Amino acid sequence: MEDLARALTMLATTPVIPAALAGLVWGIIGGALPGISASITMALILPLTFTLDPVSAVVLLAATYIGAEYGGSIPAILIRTPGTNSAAATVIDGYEMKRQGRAGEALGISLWSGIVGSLFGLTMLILMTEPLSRIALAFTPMSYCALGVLGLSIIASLSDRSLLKGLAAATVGMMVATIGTDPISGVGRFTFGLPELLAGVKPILVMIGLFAVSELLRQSGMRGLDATAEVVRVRLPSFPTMRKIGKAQGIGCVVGTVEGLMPGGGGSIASFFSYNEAKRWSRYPEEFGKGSVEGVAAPETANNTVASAALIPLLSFGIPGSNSAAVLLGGLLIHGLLPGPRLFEQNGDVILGLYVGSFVAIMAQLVVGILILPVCMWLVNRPRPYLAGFILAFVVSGIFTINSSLWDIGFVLSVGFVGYLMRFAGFPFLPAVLGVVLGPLVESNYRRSLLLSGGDHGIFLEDTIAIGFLITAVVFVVWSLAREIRDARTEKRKEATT
Amino acid sequence: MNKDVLGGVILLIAAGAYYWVTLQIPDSSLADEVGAQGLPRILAFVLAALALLIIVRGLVLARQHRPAVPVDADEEETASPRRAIGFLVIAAGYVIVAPLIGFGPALALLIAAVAMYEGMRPSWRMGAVAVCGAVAFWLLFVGLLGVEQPASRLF
Repeated sequence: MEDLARALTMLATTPVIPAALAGLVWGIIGGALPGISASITMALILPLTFTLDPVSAVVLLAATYIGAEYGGSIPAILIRTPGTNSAAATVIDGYEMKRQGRAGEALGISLWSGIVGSLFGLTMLILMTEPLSRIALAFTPMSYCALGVLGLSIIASLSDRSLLKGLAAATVGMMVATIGTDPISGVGRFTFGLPELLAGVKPILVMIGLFAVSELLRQSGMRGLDATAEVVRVRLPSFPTMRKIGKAQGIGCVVGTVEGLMPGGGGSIASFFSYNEAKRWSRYPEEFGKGSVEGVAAPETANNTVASAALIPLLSFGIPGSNSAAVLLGGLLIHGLLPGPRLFEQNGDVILGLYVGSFVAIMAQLVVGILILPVCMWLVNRPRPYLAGFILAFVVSGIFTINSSLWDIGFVLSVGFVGYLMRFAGFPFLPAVLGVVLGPLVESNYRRSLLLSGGDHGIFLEDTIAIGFLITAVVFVVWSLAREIRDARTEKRKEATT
Repeated sequence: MNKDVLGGVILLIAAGAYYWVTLQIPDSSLADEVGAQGLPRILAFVLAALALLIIVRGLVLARQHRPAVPVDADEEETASPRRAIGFLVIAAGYVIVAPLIGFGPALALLIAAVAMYEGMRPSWRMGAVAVCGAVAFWLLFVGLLGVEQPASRLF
């Protein structure tokens, strides 16, 4: 009851509601633009959070994440082009429904399922995060170091294409994190005499460069959308339809929670997995692929559940579960907030604000999601060259707000080009981003551990939690390697038979 | 040379350069057992090892006539490097021009330049969109958020 009273007070006295609404609107618009993922949408407004108080900043980012997951389904349904990766599964039945003249119904199911998934994910977030974070109270410097190594190993091993490339990206990220002043001796490292590098590299600059700028470079010169989206009216599902899609939504909730908890899981895996499971367990599997309402409900519920569930490992241990959660971590770091049990003890208002703001955003989505559809469609139909220009303008303007430094803009553009080359060569981003974010955690706790032991590395073997994390890291790496070898052999066998 | 081999070579060079720079990091009397150079040197060795493995993997794949980066049916298109560099040059142009003519005019030029580079034909309409866009961003950042943006040195 006390928490409820605090929540209501927060609603009345802080800018949580405007921040939630602003984030929701921005998220839906950003998510609706094909090529702009949820993480890019969040990265674009990350610099703006510098000007806000911590609660508003976190709420703005979280609401953007929630909005983007719904926004991505709009072009997926209307023009067969997912606005975000996690809306790719929605295309299968969503676009089919549009072809049958049921676009409004599909959008309504997407909106309703998004609300159901988001509420379930938020409930899991509230129930699981604080108990899990208390486990971190037992962490020693050795445990924190090992946790950082585990987080990087998991993300690298879950990389799409190659474990080696994932590990290399993580290593490069950690190298970037060493730029600046050594935290213990105060000696400058890799600064090359540049005063701009003395304070190190802000993770936000790396995130914007890798996520937003590299995407602009990748899309340069490409044709815009072939289809033009017509404006339709959203029709919320009737009670019989709500009953019919209930099981699919339940599957989406469970899958979304599990995938969100797994670092590197993400919405796209959750949405396809839940689509397959919903089809398997459906009473009407023959409808899937032909405009099934369950075929829209399952993936949309899943990817919206992931949006909240991915924050659980982030807030408990500081390990982001997705690219978007990594950007939210950037938002926390901007305000000097470190995830973990201390965040709950010392900055409980930020956590409460996050919960309250997310709830406001989810409930407001019911109205905003309907009202903002014409704006989204207008934007989706704008010529791509204008969109590219406006997004770049947003990037350069936003970066300047951080340090009022043109050097930062140049740095971000350079990182963006590196990100473009990484895409070209098949190197994943998330391990690199995590390397930049977790590098200081790993190094400072590594050195603190050796200070405690007088330089003896055996101290890591004396800490049970650290051993557990390190063994788990090795297991993930070995498992990923075995999977890669197995996939390579399967591919070779296929080629031999064709 | 496939992408893996090229990427691996670049990473190997980067690891070597990074290690060389760690040799320039001065010792400090305040340093601990590991020192400011400790973790960077470990990272340099790890990256070099991973780079060598990536090169070997690339060579093995090349021998088997398989692509270094698997091409999936739904693989996203990527602009050519020359195209990307051109875009980057325009963006870098903003960094040079903004302190001379100020935020608003520089942003309008940026929007117009990107639109033309991406295929729009120059027209009054494009100019109007660029100017309106610059005004909107000025209102958002300077007007609403009260955030400083580059001021003009010339006027």
